[in-house]
This record gives sequence, C-alpha cells and structure tokens, in this order.
Amino acid sequence: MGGAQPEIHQFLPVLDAGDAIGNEAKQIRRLLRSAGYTSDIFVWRAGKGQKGYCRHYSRHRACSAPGNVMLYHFSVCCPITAYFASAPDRKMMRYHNITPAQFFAGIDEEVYYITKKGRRELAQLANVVELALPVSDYNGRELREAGYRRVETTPLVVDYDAFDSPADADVLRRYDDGWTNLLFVGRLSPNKKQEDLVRIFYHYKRINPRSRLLLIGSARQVPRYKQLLDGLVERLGVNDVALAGGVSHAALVAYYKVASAFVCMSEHEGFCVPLIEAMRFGLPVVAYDAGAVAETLDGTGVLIREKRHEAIAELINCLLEDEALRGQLVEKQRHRIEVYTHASTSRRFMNTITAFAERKQ
Amino acid sequence: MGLFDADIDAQRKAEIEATITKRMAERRANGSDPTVEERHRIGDVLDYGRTDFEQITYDLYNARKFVRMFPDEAEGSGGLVGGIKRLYQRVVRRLLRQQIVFNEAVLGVLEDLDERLKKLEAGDDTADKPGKT
Repeated sequence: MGGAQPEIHQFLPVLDAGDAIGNEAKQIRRLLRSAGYTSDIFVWRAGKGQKGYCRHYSRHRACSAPGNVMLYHFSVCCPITAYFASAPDRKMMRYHNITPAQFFAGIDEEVYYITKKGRRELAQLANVVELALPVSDYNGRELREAGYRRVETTPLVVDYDAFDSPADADVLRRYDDGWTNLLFVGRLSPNKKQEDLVRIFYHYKRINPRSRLLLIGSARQVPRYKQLLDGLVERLGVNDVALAGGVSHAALVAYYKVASAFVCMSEHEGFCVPLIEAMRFGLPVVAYDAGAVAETLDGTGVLIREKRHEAIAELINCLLEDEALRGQLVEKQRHRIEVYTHASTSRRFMNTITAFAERKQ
Repeated sequence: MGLFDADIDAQRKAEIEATITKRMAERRANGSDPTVEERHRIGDVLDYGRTDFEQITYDLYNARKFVRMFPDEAEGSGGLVGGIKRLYQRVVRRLLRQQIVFNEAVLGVLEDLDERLKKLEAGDDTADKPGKT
C-alpha cells in the first residue's frame, strides 16, 4: 500500500461489550487494518472494559484531513454528530436505525428526547454524507426518505462463528432439563415488546406447564420498562419467567443451546441480529412482522401477522409438537444464514468501503 | 390474511390454523376464556402513565442521569452544555420541590387518618363519617 493511502476511522456514540454496533465496529477495524489502512474507533463514551479499544472523538482532530474517511455508525443523537458534520474529511454513514420516539412516550422521557433528536440529526446529515450504508433495505428506505442520495445496503459484518465457543456451565445446568424454553434476546425496551412475550407465555404455560420464558437483555436503557414487566409477570401470576438481564458471551451461547424456540414480538427492528443467531443455533424462529424482520427472515421461519396471544401460544405448541414441520423450517433457515457468513459480509463491506476511499472526491 | 406465514405446504398451514381454532374453541366450550381472564388480571399494569408518584421519582432519576450525560468538555456541543446543565438542574430542583409538596400532602392525609383512628378507638363514632378526608 502506498504512503498516500487515506485513513479510515469509525465513530460511534458508545462502545459497549456485546453490543451489535460495537462488535461490528471492531470487526471493521480489524479488516481495515489487515488491508493496510490506518483505522481507529472514536467514541463519545466507552463502556465498561472498552477503553482499550477506542479513543475519545475529540482526539480525532489530530488526524482529520480532507482525503481521509470518517465512517459514522448512526443509531442515536450524540455530540459526535456536530463534529462529524463540520470535519473536512470525506463522510460515510453506517445506519443502524433509530427506534421511533413514540415507543418511549410516558415511559422514559430521556430516551424519548434522544430518539426524537436522533431523527432530526439524521435529516441534518443528509447533505454532508457522501455514501450511506444501511444494514437493511428497510433502513435504506428511511435514509432515502430523509434525503440521502447515495444509499447502498450492506449486511452487518458479524462473526457468527464466535458462537462456536464454550457455553456457560451454570446456565446449562439450570435450564437444560428437558423443559421447553422459549427464548428472546434483545434489550428490555418498549419497542421490543417483551410484554407480548409474557402474555403469550401466560397462555403457553397452560398448554405446557413444563416450560419457561427466557428473556435475555439489559434493562439499563429503559429501567422503567423492566418495572412494568415485573408488574405484568406478578399480575398474571405466571411462573418460570426469567429476566436474565445482560449476560456474558458464554452465557448467551448457553441460552441459545438450551432454547427450544426463538420468539420475537418486536415492533421495530432495523435488522435484528438475534434472529440470525437463533437460526445459526438451529432454533425455529417465530417472529412478528415489523420493521426489517421479514427482510431478515426472507421467507424462512414463521412470520406472525396478527398479535393474538393465545393463538400464537397454540401455534408455538403445534410447531414444537411436530418434529417434521420443525425440521423443515430449521432446514430452510440454515440455507438463509449462508448469506450472512463472516467471509461474505466482510468481503462485501470491504469492497464498498475501499472503493469509496480510493476514489477521489 | 391469516395468523401467520411460513414457507410450508398450503394444506399443512390450513391444518395448523384449524387445529389452533379448534383447541381455542374447546377451551371456551369448557367455560373458560383465558383471554378474558388475562385482560382482567392485567388491569392497568400496562397503562404507562398511571401513577404520578412513580413518575415524579422517575423524572428525578432521569434528570440526574441527563445532567451527568454531558461532560463539560464535549466537543461539537456548540457551547450549549452549560445551558443544558443549568436547565436540567432547574428541572431537578423543581421536581424535588414537587416531591416535597406531594410528600407533605401524603403526610397530611396520614396524620388526619391517624387522628380519626385515635378518635374511633376512643369511641367517637363521628370520626367515621363519610365525606371526611
């Protein structure tokens, strides 16, 4: 590589361990560095144990130059936006979507404000971003509506092979006992609609008493929603609902291993990485048709059209009772995830980003 | 549009839909409607804005979090950080005052109830009159 090669740096609000955006940023930096580019991750805030992987975005000024490239992972409003807009570097955006503010109204005014402001910032950046890379066509449509001119969908760069690692023995011991475990992975948030999963499980538990609902995901962003879910579980008097919170990678592997089915009732997803993870573990996926869910499933799994909790509980029972049907669905899901191998997503992303970086403005 | 879509044989899909309908109908024929019972149990628990007291405490929590969100040295803030901090500190102060008023109101009611209870225990039936706080 020549000495005049541009530097390609990434920006994101917060780098957290186990977060899909943070994981992708780390993967991209590794790929860029392997290809000979100077590449760093700049953040507004580093999560616990992440300081060694990133730098504060104010440090970027020292390497900012018109020929260099800034790649901004956009998902929420952040002080980085103003810096990004004013820097002389060439600009790309990775769009992970913003949850619509109305989901948080009455639950968390802070998140309501942040998401609402995020949409405004998204529109403001339309004229400064040269190339936008949404992770799904669903996100791409939003960008075009916001005024972005060059939009190319490129799938998330995720190393799903990382799930071939050992599973947490404690979780296996606790839940691998022949019971039916219904699983959902995603932060506790009103748009993810864990409340619907609890209501479905209320009906499913009557059909199959030897069953559990395992909800994995941090309650940190919207703690009041966790209070509401706790209240709902108590009012319904439904046993065996485990709100496990954020878990380690080994524990996540274990939860996927002990699960019987993956159920998602989310009403807004920009891609939904856990759907792919569940498919990789050979779990039948039952998911409500909202946001990019249908696009991610692409005709595989079971796509729910109507939120009738009792009927969905019966459907899950039919699916788990019928081994042939389950096998048929899982087999189709297995073919679907071939699109998302680390090699193919990395190649596609690198082709796009390097073509952009090498092309003169 | 049915309950679900899946890439399976149309006849199998119809059978599943029929099974679901049949099982749900059987439950109702036995005099049990779990959906009605579910709604009854849930009540207002999913009514997000139901309790003012919880909300005040929660707003306080949020406001404190917000003030901590903005470090003084944040670049690109356009000089707004100081103003935002002052605004949210004002909100915190206002909410604290609201909570004090609310607590005092609750305490007032409790004191009144305590007084009535003492009167009742002393044999004064007029303390149990309806219409009294």
